[in-house]
Amino acid sequence: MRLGKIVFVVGIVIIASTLIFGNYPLTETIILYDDVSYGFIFSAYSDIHVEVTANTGGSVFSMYLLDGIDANNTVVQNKSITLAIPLAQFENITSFDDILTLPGLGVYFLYFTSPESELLSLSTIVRPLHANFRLLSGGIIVTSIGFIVIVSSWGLKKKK
Amino acid sequence: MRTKLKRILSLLRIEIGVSWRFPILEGVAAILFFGFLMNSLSMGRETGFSTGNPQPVFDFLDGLAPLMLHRGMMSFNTLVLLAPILVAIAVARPFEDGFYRTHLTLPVKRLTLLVTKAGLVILFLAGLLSSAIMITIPLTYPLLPTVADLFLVIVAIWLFIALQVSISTLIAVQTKRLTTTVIGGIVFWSVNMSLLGLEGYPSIAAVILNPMTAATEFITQGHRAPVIADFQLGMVISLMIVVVLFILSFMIFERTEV
Repeated sequence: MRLGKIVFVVGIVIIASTLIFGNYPLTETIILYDDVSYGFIFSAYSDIHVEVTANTGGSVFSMYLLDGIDANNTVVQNKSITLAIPLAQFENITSFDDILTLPGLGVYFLYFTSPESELLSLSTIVRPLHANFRLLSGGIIVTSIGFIVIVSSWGLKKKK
Repeated sequence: MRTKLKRILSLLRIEIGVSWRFPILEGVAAILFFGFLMNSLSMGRETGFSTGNPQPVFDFLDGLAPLMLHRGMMSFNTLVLLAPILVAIAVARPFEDGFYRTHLTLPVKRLTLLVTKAGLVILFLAGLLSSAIMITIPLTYPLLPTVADLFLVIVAIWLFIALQVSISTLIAVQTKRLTTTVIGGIVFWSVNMSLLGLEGYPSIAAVILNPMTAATEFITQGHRAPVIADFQLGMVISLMIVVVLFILSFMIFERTEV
């Protein structure tokens, strides 16, 4: 019975944490100037909503979404950033506010460049659209196991 | 032998029913899992770089799994504060409410009684922390840490908790008071954490006092990562300190009037 209660509580905590922290947005400020481009790597598990707004300076920029491992190989092989085949690319845009589809849990890379030499500051917000389904299903399974143990031990106790 | 086992089992049943009664154990499990998931899910998921310095991308990806483990483990440093509180409930409180007298009417040795009480704190805390890592990592991490890294961290967790529990147990049997056990344990923890932040603090001392942080620094090769010889020696010394502290506690408990 105690074991069942503990497993049940752990399952509920996993579900609650997934729902509370799973959609935690990532924010990053990006500064582009001259030949300097900028990128950031993040781990994600579902489709994401990306919002990019220009704060100051120039206004035109390009944004590329790459698989993290792909981006890593590119860097390692060439010792400088030569773009691998991007999962999505948006060139010469002034702002971005849309949903990007990801293949699944993994490491991804958002990379920004600007054709202008003028300093450009961008604010990016990346929000996961769904909860982490793997963790959520894990939580549901753990909760169900706990519930089954509680009910069966309660049944056994009653039978005795 | 069978009778002895039966006695120990009944002692465990009493201990779980009294010191770990509902909802203490369930609450501890909830706090530990919540703390680990909070850090793993909401921190350390990103890193930025510019073209002038592309190397960090490689470094970051190469060490992503251990880094996430390290970030998740940061919450454990705070969660280990539960150790003195639980030792106070399990070991110090029976002095105050006179429950040791009831315990000792059972045909059990004092040594068995104290080993059961302190052992259950280590078992539940370290067991739950290890389960939190083992269950959540495959479900949340995009890249998995190696088995060797994971094993090292889990061994370090058990050792760190054993250290906290052994110090708190010594304070509990010496002072026989719940409040001093909690305060003493928190003071040790605070001193430990403050020392870790000091520049020039010897890495072997960091391993001895906080094997858990040292292990995560070691696998991520952070700027305070100990060299392997220091790490191994530190772990052995830490284990020896735990054994000595427990022996001292047992000696004091044998002579203490309950």
